[in-house]
Amino acid sequence: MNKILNSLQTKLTISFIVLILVVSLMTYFFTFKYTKKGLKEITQTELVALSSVIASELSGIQAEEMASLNPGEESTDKFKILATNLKTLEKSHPDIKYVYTMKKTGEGIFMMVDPEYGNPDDPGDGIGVKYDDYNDEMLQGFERPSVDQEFATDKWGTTLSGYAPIKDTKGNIVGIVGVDMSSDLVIAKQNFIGKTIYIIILVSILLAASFIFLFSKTIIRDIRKLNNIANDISMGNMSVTMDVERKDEIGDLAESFGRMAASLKIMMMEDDSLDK
Amino acid sequence: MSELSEKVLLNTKRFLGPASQAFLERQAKNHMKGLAFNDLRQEHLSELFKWIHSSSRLIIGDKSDALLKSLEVVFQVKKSD
Repeated sequence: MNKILNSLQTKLTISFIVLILVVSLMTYFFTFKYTKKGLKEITQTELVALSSVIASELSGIQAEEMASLNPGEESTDKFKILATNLKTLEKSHPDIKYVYTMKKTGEGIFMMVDPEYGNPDDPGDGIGVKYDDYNDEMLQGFERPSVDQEFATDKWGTTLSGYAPIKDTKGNIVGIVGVDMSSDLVIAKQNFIGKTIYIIILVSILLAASFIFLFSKTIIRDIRKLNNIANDISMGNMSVTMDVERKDEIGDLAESFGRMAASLKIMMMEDDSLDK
Repeated sequence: MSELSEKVLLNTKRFLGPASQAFLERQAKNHMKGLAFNDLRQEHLSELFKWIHSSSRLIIGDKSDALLKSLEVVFQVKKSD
């Protein structure tokens, strides 16, 4: 066991594997980190674009109607039509989880239309329900399109949200439209990329390790041959022949060693034996 | 040592190492009627190479073929029959 651990082949193979592992892990962490960041930025850009487009769809008469809704009017046709319109917009993009509208007063932020209202599986808030989990990005959304910098968690789950102001027919901001994208989707994409990089690195390490193992094996085999020949000569066995044929440094060593062995033979062998 | 002898020695050293001179002197003396290796001339080469080839086979095995070929190429000597 000790002989195997101390052999040049084991040391070479382990050294190369450690080297590849270190380089691969560093590449993995840097690549994964920047890919995750890039993916989040792409999602954020997409959310800003989506919320802006949806806000422009809603601005005008629909925005005025939303702003005019009062608590308790959830069963009116006006609310149902507006909720259905939001639901249609929600379904227009497979990655969107929720689309809703909110308004801001001096007392806080309140729900205008949540199309999930009345959904027993995923109940949304009614008109005028106060929303306390807002962040700076949501507040910015009342002035210009904005997006969450980090995933935000509320009672509906963890999401990344984009916000854009919606305006009435006169161009006054009456609220915001919020577009939520589930964190699961973004995390799933990040994990897919992470796993792909991981598999590529793992396969590369296996291939490199196999290659290094085979390569070192041929080097060690020839070094062992040279060692055996040196041992034979040192023990007085002059009948050995050099059979290491390589075109690299080991080959050069074998050639030099062969010359040295030949000279030793010439000097040690009897004249008669050479002249026969 | 003559220029020709030195050239033969130089080429043989690539295969037989530092003891080549002793080896060549012995081949010339024992197989070519006591010829001194230093007095080697062009007409001796073919015969000398034949003996170098057969004697070096005992020392370096099949590499003696490469040694002979190398000498024949350098000195443009046709292979002896």
